[in-house]
Amino acid sequence: MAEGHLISIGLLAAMVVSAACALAVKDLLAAAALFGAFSFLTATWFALVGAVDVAFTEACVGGALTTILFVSTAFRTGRRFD
Amino acid sequence: MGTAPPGRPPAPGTPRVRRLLGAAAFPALFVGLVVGMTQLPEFGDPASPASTHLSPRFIEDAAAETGAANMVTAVLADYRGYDTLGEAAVIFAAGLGCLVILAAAGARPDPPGAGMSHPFGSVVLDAATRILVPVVLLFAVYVLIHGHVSPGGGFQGGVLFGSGLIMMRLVWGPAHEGRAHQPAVPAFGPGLRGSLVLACAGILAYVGIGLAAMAFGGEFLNYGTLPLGGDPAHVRELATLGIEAAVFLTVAGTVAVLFDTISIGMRESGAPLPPGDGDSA
Repeated sequence: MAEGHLISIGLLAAMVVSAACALAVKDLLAAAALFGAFSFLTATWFALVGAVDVAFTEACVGGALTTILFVSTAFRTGRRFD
Repeated sequence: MGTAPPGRPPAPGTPRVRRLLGAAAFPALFVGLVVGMTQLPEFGDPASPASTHLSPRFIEDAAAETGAANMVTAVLADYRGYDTLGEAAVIFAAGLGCLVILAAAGARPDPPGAGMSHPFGSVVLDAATRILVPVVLLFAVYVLIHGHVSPGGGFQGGVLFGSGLIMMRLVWGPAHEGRAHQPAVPAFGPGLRGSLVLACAGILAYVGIGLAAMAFGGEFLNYGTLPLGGDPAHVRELATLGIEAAVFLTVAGTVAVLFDTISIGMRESGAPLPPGDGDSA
């Protein structure tokens, strides 16, 4: 279980970092990509703790769908946020 | 970060108060959450109330009662079908809201080359999409049907199916009759209007299955009474599949509606423009 805890802590730390970076960057395209990375880390962590159905949903919705919607919104509204 | 949203100048004095309030509220909330977390039962603790009172009932009876080996599906589509109906309705409402709000924006002609309204149009993308899209769509249906025994179900399948529809729109342009840009690509998939019809059909089917259960003497969404023949578990299994298919349609349709309204706009989706189109924008 020790390695499981280590992987878990690593994933959670990476989630925090990617979330903070997504908030900090001014380029909305980069923010969308970072948010997608956050979603994939979340999905991996869900799978790690045994919630496979939730992980599947998070990977589909967070990793793919919302990223696409964010990117297309950024294309339509302007790429930078100042 | 820390600045007011553009176009809405703040009243003098408020940002400082707001920042102070935020600075006070954040640590308090953080400490409160961390302290609260320490009081939670250990993850997977067999002695926790959820594990002793709630879970055994579902673990022991779900497969026999609903015919679904995947307990998550049994709970989502049968035991708490009412919540799932609410979730599907929320997603549908979000799609409708997007459609209503962005209909006005779509009436404004885009400057040439703006947005993602023009297909990417590269040979590599085109060839890859031709191979990938059928696999994605088929996998989505597999996820829907196999949700009884493996992770998955209507929601995930619907999102995957919607992703396949979006992939085609990204590479080949919006799905509508009389496309001008790439006549070589066969028109496939519902346009904006078709996606909306799909989503409506999904919600109506969900409510319809619930009402049918009532009509045959059960409660709303209590499928045991439906006259589908066979033993109750089999009837519930079939009805659960119907519910999952309804969620699938709702989600897939709404996903396509969301993408169309956000990225392509009403004009190019072949939908009628709202009245007052023209120079008003």
